[in-house]
Amino acid sequence: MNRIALLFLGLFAALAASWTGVILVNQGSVGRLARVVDANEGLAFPQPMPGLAEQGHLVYQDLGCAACHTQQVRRPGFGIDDKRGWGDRHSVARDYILEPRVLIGSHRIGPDLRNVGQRKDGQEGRDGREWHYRHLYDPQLTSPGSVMPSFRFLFETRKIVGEPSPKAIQGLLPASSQPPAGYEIVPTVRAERLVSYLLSLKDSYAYPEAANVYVAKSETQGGAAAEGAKK
Amino acid sequence: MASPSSQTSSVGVEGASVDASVRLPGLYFAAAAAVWLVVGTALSVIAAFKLHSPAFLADCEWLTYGRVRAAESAVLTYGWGFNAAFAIVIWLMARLAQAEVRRPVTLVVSGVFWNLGVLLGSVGILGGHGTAVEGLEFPAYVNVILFAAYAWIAIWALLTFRARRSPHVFISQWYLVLALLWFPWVFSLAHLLLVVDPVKGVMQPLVQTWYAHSLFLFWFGGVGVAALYYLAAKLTGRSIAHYHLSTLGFWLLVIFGAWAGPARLVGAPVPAWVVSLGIAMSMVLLVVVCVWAFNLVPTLARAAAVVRQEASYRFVAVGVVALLVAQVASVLLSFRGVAELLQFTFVQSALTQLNHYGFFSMVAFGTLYVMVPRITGRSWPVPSLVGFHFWSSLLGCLASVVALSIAGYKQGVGLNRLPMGDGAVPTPLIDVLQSIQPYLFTQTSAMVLLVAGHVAFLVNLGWMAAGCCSSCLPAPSSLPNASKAA
Amino acid sequence: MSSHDQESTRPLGDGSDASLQSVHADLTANKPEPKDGYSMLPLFLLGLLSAVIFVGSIYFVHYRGGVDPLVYDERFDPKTAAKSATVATVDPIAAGKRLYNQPGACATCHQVNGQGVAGVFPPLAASEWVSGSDERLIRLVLHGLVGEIKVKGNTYNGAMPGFGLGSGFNWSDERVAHVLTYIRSEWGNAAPAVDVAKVTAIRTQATAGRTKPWTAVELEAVP
Repeated sequence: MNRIALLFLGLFAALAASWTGVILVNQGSVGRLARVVDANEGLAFPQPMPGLAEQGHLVYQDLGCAACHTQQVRRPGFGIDDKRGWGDRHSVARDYILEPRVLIGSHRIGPDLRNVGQRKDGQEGRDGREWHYRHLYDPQLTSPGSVMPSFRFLFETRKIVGEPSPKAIQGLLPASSQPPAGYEIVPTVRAERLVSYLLSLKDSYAYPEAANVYVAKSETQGGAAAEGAKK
Repeated sequence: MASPSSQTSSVGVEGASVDASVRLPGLYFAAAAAVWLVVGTALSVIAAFKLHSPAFLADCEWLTYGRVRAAESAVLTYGWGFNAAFAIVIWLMARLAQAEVRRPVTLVVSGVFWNLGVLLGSVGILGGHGTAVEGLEFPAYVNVILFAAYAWIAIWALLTFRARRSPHVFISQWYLVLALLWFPWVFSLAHLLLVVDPVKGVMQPLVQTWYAHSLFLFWFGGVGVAALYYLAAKLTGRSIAHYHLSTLGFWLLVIFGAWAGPARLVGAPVPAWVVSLGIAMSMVLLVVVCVWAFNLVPTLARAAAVVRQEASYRFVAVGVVALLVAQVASVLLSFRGVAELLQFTFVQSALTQLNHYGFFSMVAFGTLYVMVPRITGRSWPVPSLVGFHFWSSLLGCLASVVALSIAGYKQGVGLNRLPMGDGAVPTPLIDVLQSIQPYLFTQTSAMVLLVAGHVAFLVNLGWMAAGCCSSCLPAPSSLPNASKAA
Repeated sequence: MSSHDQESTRPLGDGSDASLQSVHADLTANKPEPKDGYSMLPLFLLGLLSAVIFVGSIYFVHYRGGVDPLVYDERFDPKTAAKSATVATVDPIAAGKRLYNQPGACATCHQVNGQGVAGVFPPLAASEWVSGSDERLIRLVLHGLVGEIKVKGNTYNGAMPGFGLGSGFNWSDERVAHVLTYIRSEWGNAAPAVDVAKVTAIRTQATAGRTKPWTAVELEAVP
């Protein structure tokens, strides 16, 4: 019977130890990270998502976008995320502290989306919105050969009643995708939210900890030598 | 009583009455598992097909890739995996305690709730209520049902363990107790910290990997290894080789295993030390793998010539190989140099396939093929389907793992390496994905093969259950234990 | 190996669960006598375990990243790197540009392109006031300006609010320095940067206590 008590006790101790070591310790440090106040800008970072984007985050979550897209930029030299233009810097823990559901993802069947808002911002029509609508409506329009499925169900083909909607997107689509005369294709509220979310994705602020990267010895020595030479 | 020299697993008189008492819950969980298995692998086929033909079913929001993938994973884990594990736990616990199952109907009631929860959860995921947390995809309300249903099954199993007759606790029982105690802890903690009141920032992925890793290593690993030890001894009629080492492996797994989860977060924005610690701890699992190998391989190899033709033996042998390969591979894949190239790629999917299918599912098949004839007192109605199931599972799993590994390697090189030459720019992602299309197509074919095998399994099992029920129901007296309990 | 294996497994009696239990109980209670070769296995495992723990410990110590929640690069060691790590410095041009374009601030009148509005708001691009004496420029921005001012040959008459500490904008000396550095280096201007210390000195010493805006005449008296 003693050995059984030992078994139960041992199991509990092992569980408690791993729980403490992996979760509790980190909850006390990483779990308590706060926003950084930048006196220069008079703002705290990370900034909260705009309301529409926060609702779009739920659309991103429920459509399972994270099955193919990560949201974590790896540091330069570890993979080539930087060379792919997926972010100016690697992601740090503080980037995520305001997000209700952190979807860093584990598969890269599509590109990393952590800074997709930065990539499309101000480009390709209406701050990138049009690009995203076309892409969601039919990925082949913007990215021929892509294996991303179409999200046509986020758009509505409806009869034009009175004035055509300013949001209508059929003008962006090729002839083959045009609705019948008198009809228009408009993004649903969910599509608008999703695109707002995607456009809000940009980790531009350089936190001090983002500089905590290893610099190879030869580089620092080289730098020191150069400084010495200047003197 | 079978003669001991027959080398096949014989059943004593006591065993027969224990087996009969497992009939109702055992058959229920086995049948539920088989149904979910077919559903889950059908979803796998859809998901796999979408990877090379994105237009397939694209207009149906409920079947968009992200949701199908999440539902597939949840159905296979909580539908197939847990039901099969419950059947194995009940049977092994009862047999090793040499105690008849009391109140089998309550187990079935719990099981009904469990399966309702899984059904509700899978429909919820397809309807867009999923949590998007890998390994815990079900909507919040489902987890409560699952926990309540699980609690009774686990309490029952632990009570049976307490009522055991033999003073010796066989190594399978250790692993079963490990599985039964560990799961409710990690499940409830993960539910609280991820779904009810989510922790902040990257604590979420950290809790998620801790949970997903524990779920696999301790629940599925625990039940699977318990079944392996039991079947290795029973199928060969010999004791476990180097048996005294088995507890060493057990304790090393328990003490070090739970820390290894964060090793999957290499390169992620979690503190570097957590990942380094996980990698260091996962190295110790190599010793555990050695212990499993020393225990199981010689035991099974010794009787290979005699029982090689038995279906369950074949499943178990494949399961052992997959377990050892997958554990070593997961240690290797967590090393930073390897993860830099292969993280986020289909190689990870291949490893999951090897773990969940090659190891756990194969062992579960092997156990069910031994267990169901014992508890029903019947033989498989269509023996040829058993062989078909084995070969389709083996070939399907092998093809899938190989195809995904090659696809993942090519994907990793394309994703994470610059092409040769000066001023080279990264290969566009679309080109990388296009270049692995043939392997993804192979993966789809492999999944179709698996579905075929699983349908064969379901047909065989359903036929047997139907025959069993029709013979039992008119004359309840033929089922003395069930009637006594009711 | 196989000969030892044969010795290491025993038949399970009648094959029942009871005999399975008893045979293994016996195996646990009476460990097999160490025979040649057979005892190698525990030794091998012990060696492997020690090796793995040794390697694992070294790996962890080497890649612990200072056990710091803010280190994501495992090779980074806060202790040795602390000296070389640069303190987060503000790029005055970038910070100045942000301030310049802040709603209600400089760009509202002088425009994003620094051209001002003809006849109403003087330009900053190629302005002798911007690229000239920083003493005058600092005073102007700290406390504001009223009345006529001649810029690039044109006369403007308006009022510019003060931006320095104590004024309506209440910008710190750093901000004033940054925005001035920005406008002195943008749109073709190429005057030297404005030093934060100089702004502080002018605010706290040369013009201490001043709250009312300057006039162009007053400023022209300043060197």
